[in-house]
Amino acid sequence: MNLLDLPDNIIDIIYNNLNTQSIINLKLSCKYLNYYSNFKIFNNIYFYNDNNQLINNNIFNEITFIPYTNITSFVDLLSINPQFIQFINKIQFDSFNNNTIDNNDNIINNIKKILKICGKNVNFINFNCQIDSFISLFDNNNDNINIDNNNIHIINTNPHIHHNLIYENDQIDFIDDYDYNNNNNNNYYNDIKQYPTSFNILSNLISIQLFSFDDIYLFNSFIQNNNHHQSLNLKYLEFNIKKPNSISNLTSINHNLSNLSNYPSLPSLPSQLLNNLISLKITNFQSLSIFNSYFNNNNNNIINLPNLKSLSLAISDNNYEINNLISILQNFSILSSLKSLEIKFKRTSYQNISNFNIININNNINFINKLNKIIENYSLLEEISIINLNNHNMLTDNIFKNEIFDDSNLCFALINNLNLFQNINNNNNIPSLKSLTICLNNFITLVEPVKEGINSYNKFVLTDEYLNRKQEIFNKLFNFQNLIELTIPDFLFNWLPFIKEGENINLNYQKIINESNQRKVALIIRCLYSRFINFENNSTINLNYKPIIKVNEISINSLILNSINLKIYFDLLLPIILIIAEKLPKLTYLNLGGHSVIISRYQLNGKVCKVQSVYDNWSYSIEDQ
Amino acid sequence: MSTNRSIVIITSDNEKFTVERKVAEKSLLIKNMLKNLLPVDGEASDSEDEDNDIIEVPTQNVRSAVMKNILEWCEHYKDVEFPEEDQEDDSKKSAPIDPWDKNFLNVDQEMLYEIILAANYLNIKPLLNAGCKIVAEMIRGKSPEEIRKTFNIVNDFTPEEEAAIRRENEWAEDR
Repeated sequence: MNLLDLPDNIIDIIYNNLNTQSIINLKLSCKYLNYYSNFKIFNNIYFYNDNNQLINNNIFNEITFIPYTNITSFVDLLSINPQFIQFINKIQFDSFNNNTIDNNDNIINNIKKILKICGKNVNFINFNCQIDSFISLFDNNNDNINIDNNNIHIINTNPHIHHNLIYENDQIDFIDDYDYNNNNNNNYYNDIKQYPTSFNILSNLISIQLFSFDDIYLFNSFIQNNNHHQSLNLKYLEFNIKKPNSISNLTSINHNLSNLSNYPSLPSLPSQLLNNLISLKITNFQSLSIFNSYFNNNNNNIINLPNLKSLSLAISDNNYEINNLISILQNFSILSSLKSLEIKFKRTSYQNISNFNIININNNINFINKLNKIIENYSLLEEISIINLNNHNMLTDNIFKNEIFDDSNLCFALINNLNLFQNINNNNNIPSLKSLTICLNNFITLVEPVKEGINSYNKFVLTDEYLNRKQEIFNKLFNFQNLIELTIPDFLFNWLPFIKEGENINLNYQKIINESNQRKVALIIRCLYSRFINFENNSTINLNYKPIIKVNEISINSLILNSINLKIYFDLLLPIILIIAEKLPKLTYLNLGGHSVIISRYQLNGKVCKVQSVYDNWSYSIEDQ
Repeated sequence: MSTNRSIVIITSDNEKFTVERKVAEKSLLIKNMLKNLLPVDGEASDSEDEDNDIIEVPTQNVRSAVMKNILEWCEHYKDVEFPEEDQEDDSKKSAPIDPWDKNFLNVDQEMLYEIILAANYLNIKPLLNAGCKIVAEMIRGKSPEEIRKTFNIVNDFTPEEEAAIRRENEWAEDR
């Protein structure tokens, strides 16, 4: 018997275990495998930018990743050999209008060519780009492009958020290479007005992110002019509005966008648009106000979201804002099918006024009570994400040290009061939660916790009470015994240094620092954290299921310049990965501060047999030992 | 009790293997067959005689040498609960082969294919996946020529055709 004698369903399973390079070698072995390989290799094509994106090859074996540097060869292939078009089912274009890509015009032209050649045949096209980049593909010279039969996703990404915002006040300066003056979007709306008919191609639109007022104008006029709300089957909607024009600065503390009178008025959107919605992401408070005003002019109306499975809300501690949010939540119907919940919280004022603290606590408790009411049944919840966007330097000024003990910070208040966490204590039930993302501070500073002395830029003086509380919060995570996925973005700088004091994690943090050189560790941690660069501004839902992540080129270059080998650091972190994997018996995806790993277990006893990096060339296998 | 009852599996060459029910039920094909014949709770019968009945399961597509291996695998995993197929997540695809499976499947290619085919016919997904992973491992990292040699595949391309296919794959080369 020969390999070629096996039936197709078995050959299929074998192919599912092979990457693109192996399939290409199979293609070259004989005529039959050459033909059969086409079904696999052209089925799901993903174009990415190899300058600043990393591929998740381990999970997404079935995707054929093609860097934009090779797009011309691919276009040539399709032009000369149109027989391959029939094998293409899905095409995704990621970040094609990014300033960091050399030769961007060539890429745009090639994308247009691909759409012209096979746009009609492909079932699914995903544009992971800004909406204006997408529209620019359909100017008047390209009437031949017809993708009307497809499911179209536009994943609008924001190129304007820069790593510099993360590293504020930190020890190592990064060069700010982003020129805001040359990248302003003031003419943005005028530009896209030139393509008024372009939105006709969106009649099959099922997913869109609205990023600025211009996007809303366009979306609104599309809906109103074409009467599309009758037929549109919109499933994924994201409001990520920062300013009337899209450049934003999230770190501005005193933003005053909550006043809706600053916004241009628009006719309200028909609420039927929301009936089929599966995912609603509202990534900041002003977006929430806009969402509410455009979908619900009359505040007494219930906002019906009968099919909603994923809800993401981002809010601040501003008294006016949170009270508005509470009243908006009151208009939400009961979310009986909710599976994913994301809450992001950001402090906007940094005064230690006890009165202010009490107001915060009351607001937070009120908000959580409303949430508990809407969600009703937490046993259906599979994914939760709690993000504290706090870029406050706790080392120089410890005024918020109290927040880990009381409910003045919404994130800690959620851990203390959300029914999901309460059920663990009260009923001793193991929650069904499968995915947890938790970030309690995003101010990257490496600290050495000490019991005595003076706070300095790298030393943090603590009491036992503080360390015990940190340990207690960490241990709470282990109650979620059904967790498959755990992501702790701030783990390396906000958990690891503190939990080493605990009894159950016997990891010598100082050893890590000493063995890999303090300055190098600082660089590594920043480099790894920069992989979450978009999570602060966008949603963290499905964070570990992305085929591609963006990385910070500058921090990567810094690692190379300083000849830092991430492998040594990952080896040092291995004991903690193994401890967490042992305590959470179903855990498969673990992401500690950007070091993302897949945990494989033996079928027979569930014990860990392999830990493999998702984006880096690192793995640990019991067999190898 | 019907759960403890032995099952007799008859192979294509008429050899009979007597095994515990839970060993035989690692095969979803046999499990579904038995579901109708022998309800697990024993509710079908109270009579003592029934326990002495021989339940024979014919498996026409599997010869005895292969069945012996298949039943060794089923015996090893008889107490392991495998997830339902629709509950399997993507990570299972990338999970390495269990060392015991790797050792178990360290057989000649002919036997490996026969085990894979039998696992496919008997509907034993974890064994089928492990077998396919072994084959994938044999392909990984090999040049087209090495693949042909390993799997005894005849190169039916003319030199011109082979050169043309190499040119077609330029988009997949590292730049």
